[in-house]
Amino acid sequence: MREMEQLIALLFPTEGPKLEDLKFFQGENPVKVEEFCEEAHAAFVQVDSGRTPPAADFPEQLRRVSVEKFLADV
Amino acid sequence: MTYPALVRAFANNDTLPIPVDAVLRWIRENTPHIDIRLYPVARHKKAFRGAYRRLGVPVGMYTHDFEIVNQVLYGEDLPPEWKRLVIVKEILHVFDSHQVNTPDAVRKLIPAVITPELRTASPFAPVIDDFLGTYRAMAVLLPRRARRRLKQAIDADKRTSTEIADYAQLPDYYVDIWLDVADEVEDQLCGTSLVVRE
Repeated sequence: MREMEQLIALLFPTEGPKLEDLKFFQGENPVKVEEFCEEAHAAFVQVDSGRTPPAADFPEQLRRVSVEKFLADV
Repeated sequence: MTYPALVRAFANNDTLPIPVDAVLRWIRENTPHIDIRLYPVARHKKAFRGAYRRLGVPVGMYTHDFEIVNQVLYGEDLPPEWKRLVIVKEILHVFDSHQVNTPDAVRKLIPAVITPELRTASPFAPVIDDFLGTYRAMAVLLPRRARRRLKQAIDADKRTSTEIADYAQLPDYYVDIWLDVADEVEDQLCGTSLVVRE
């Protein structure tokens, strides 16, 4: 299975960072293992190439309201 | 500190939504996982919503020391409420007891992830962390004190789970399930009992 081995080669380089853990959140669409590996590989290439710069935070514009107020606003 | 301590820290929160950054801040302040990096990534087949990769990065050529880097990937096309759940679910893998860190483990993990349910009698242990991870995240993002008050409103037909999902900025699908099962499973997820002001 070429896609799996391509992904494994990316995750376990002979030099440099060592993989300590890997997990996934299942997607919306049913896919085959090859399709999954192809998309995972493409995602990690985006990360490792620097094409997707990392962010330390996740800024949100949230309207935070107490539960009591939410329940009172019927 | 551990996952139960995180759940306890948010359990009395009765103002929603819980900001994702509040969860990231707690992890940075209370665990060794200070280096957390978030990456929105393009997807084409929607094979996965998010991923967690922890790396040990060598700090020099002549030592065996590593710096730990936690990478959270999430689909850049996901709706905001899904991004929130995916990011928190993925970063909570810092607390997992089963790691995937060999080629053989990756070969086992991926077929198990794309299987919709834990179908086998003894599933690959790290996949259980993946499966439960979503509910571990829900315990933080829809915490106990608020959740119980909201469940009462649903039982009294004053609110719907869709309205609560919109209020908490979380996917309707998981809010509906979590409001139903949380009282039974939360302590099991934590492996302990929570003390919450009522």
